[in-house]
Amino acid sequence: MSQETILVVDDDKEIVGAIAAALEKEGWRVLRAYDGMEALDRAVDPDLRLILMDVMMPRLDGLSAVLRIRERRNLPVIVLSAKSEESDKVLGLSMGADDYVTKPFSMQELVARVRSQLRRYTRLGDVNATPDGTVVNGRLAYDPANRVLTADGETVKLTNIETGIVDLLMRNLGRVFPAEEIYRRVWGEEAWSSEGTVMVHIRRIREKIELNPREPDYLKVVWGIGYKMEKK
Amino acid sequence: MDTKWKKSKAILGFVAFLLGVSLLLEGGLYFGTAMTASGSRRWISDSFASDWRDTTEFRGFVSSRLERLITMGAGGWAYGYYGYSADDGNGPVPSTGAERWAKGIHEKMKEDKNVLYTVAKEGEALYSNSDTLTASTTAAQLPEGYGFLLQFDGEKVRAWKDGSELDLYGDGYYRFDEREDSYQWYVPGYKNFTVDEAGSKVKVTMAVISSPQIFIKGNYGSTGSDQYNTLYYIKQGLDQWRERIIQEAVRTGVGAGVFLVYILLGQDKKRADMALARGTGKVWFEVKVLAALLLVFFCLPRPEYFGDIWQELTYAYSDTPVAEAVPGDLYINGDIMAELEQNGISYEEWLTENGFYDSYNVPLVEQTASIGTAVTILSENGGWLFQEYLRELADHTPGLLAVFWGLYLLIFNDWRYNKRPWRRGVIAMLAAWGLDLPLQRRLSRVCGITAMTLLLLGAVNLNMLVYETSYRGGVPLEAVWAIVTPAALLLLVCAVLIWRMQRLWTDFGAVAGQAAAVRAGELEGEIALQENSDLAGLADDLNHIRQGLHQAVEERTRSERMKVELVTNVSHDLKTPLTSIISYTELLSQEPLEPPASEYVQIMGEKAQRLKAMVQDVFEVSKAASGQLPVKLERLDYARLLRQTLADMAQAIDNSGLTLRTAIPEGEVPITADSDRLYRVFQNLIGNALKYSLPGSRVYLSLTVEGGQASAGVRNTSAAELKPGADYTARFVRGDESRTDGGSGLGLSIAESFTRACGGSLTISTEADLFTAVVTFPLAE
Repeated sequence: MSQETILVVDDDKEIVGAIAAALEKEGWRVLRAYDGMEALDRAVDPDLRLILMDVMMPRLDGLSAVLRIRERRNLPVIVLSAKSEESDKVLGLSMGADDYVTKPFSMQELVARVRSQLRRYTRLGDVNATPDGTVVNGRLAYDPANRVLTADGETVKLTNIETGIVDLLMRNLGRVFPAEEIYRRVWGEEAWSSEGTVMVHIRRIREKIELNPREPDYLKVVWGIGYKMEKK
Repeated sequence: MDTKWKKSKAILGFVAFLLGVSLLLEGGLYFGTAMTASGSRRWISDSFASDWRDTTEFRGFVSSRLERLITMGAGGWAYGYYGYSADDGNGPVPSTGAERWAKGIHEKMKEDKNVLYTVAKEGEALYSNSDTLTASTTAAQLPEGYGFLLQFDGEKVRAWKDGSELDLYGDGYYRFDEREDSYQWYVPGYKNFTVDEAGSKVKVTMAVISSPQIFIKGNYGSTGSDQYNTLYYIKQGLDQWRERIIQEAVRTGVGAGVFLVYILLGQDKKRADMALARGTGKVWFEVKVLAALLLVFFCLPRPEYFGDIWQELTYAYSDTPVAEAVPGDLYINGDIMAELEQNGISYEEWLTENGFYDSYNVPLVEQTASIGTAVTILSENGGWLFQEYLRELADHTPGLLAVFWGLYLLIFNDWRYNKRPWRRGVIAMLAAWGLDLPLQRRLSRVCGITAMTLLLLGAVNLNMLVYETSYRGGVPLEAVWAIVTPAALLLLVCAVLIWRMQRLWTDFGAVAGQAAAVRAGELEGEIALQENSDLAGLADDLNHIRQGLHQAVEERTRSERMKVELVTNVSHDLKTPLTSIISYTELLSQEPLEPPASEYVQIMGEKAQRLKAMVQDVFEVSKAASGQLPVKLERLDYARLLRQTLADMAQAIDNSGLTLRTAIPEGEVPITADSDRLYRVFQNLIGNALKYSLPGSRVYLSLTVEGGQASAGVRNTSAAELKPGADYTARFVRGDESRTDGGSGLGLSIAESFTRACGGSLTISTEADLFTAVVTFPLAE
């Protein structure tokens, strides 16, 4: 059986080594490349499932390499970058990257992101088979009829209150809800000092759905306004 | 070429307007006054008659001449002649007086060969100025050049013009026509207008010349120089009147035509108006007003004329009899004055003699009318007075035009195109409008006072001069020059000085403005004063300073930018090895290690994380400090932000062992800020308080709204002694310098720069061990 293979590209050999060690430990096969041109050569491997790509590299930079590889194959790409500014992130994602990780990163988070991307890609067919009315938002999918949330295709176990909050936010992607409203609609009673209670639940949901709960991608606080589910 | 044509069009348009309006004004005034005057209709029909002998004037003249000749023949009109005619108490009687009168008239008239006449009584020729003319002369027998024949046979009159007989009597009744425009022949022979007995004995034959001439001949032998060329003057008057009407009509027509040209060039003329306004805009407002007043005073009909009429009217309407009205309300007419002068009596003597004055010195007070009387006078005579005034105006056309155009230029056009024309002038200088700097205002006021004094002095002088010339019978020209020349020189010198001062304070304003701009940080743009300006050197210096400053600032900005770039690059360069360190530490921690190696790995991991945080903080703080931090401002609830932050940090607060006391209002406190950045601010402030507070002490968080500002304060008691006067927002400053754990030392610095980037302000104050950080934002709408 062919092993799921991941291409790691970075001009810093030690970083490639560390990432490779971590990924191999998880049971994946790892290909290594140290610049964009090399990445193009390696990307022909038939077992290749995902690419981890640094941006600033000699000969051919990461984003250009992603574009060239995408011409031939549709593979998930996670961009690694030392730049952490919002504009760089947006640029990377718009160039075709599926995810973005800033350096220095935690190996744990990186592995989680790799796993998430691989799952999404291998289960792509399942997504289409989801029941009618399912709200699909990036890694997350919510079936309101059965009140079931899945992350990367796996069902997330939620308490009643948590399901209530997810239900409200997933049905209204991108909309910001103040704590009182969430409380009123989920608990079904008037809010009294709701901020702390809601925040606790939000944090718990994050632990269950976010890859890095400290820097959430989906369930976000809009400080001074409320909470929202980011639309991906 | 194009601009030249535009300019000529503007000039053409304006000249057309000037000429058109002038001509229309003159013509309109002429027709408006002369044409509406009483009897003017008769004059118009007379002057445009095809034959002047068909005119009412001619008829009137012939009639009255015939009347005179019949009277001469009948021996009438002696009463009162020479003041000593015979009157025996029963009325006037024919006497030698009448004969002398008739002879005298004849002597005067006979040389006027415009009219040939023969007067006969009972067949005997009495007076005649023609050898050929007899009572029986027929129209065919008239001398050459005489086309009109009239015969009175003692009862009726017959007349022939150029051989054909005229119908004099119509239906045979004489009617007095008040409209005057269709005179009947005022000759005897109507059924209701016959001759008396004396007249019936008289026969008169008159021949009237076709083209009247002047036959001047003084009759010094008997009657002096009276000469009777009336007919010539009648004819000439009619011709002149006709010519005048035609002339005025042509003038009005031309005026209308030219006015049409102006209408076509209206837009171009507007440009000329604007150019004129630019010119008049430079003149002081007061000078313009004064000039306009002087124009009105000197060029319009003299007010005294109407004063006289007014006085006569008030006199006529006065309720008080004249005798009682003196001495206060005495009205003296010109006749009395003339009489006094003739008799060599002085006015004052006369007044005293007649008891009008007790004292010599009491001034003569003019007749005054009460308001009620004035209203009555105006309502009853208004139309007439107005007509009279228009007639006066028509006689003063040049003056009127001067006033009209003067007012147009100085007032109308000036006010139309120059915004607030009173902003330039003496009052403006005194008020120092639009001047901000104290020195400018002072200079302006000094100039204003000087100008006002000058104008007053000039006015007083002028008034004295006018008074002297008009009431004291004139001042020698030398004296006038002696007064006027130095005054004019003084005026000129002062005007030039004021002009220079004005430029000085304008330039001063420009220089000061530049200095203020430099101070405000605007380093672009130079002041350009004229080369010869008093402040040119100063302006030049300022320009150089500004340039130098501009360069220095540019240099600093560049170096600042370089610094940020450097920090960015360094932090980027740091991140790459840091990634390796963190990654391998993590890998290492997953390996089975014996203590103490496992502890070492853990410490390495913690320190690597702190290093990561520091690198990120340094990066952000340097970006914020150089103003390159991107912020996404939105309206948010300050109170909610604080509550959310507290909820977010609840665990850390619980673990700190400190008590947090909050005072946050229930309602919304709207401000505009970047949500994520402001969260970081309070995360840092509260985090600092938790980290550096005295164990077991209380931390206070409050939000207050006052005067449109919302302030959130974090107060805590420091565990370490605070250094008074330390700048805690400076980079890498901490309360306790010896402590090496916890934080990059950038917390407050980040809080400060983020707050500022969001449009708020952070103030740090310390008092004893109390540490206070207050974040203030203006309330949003």
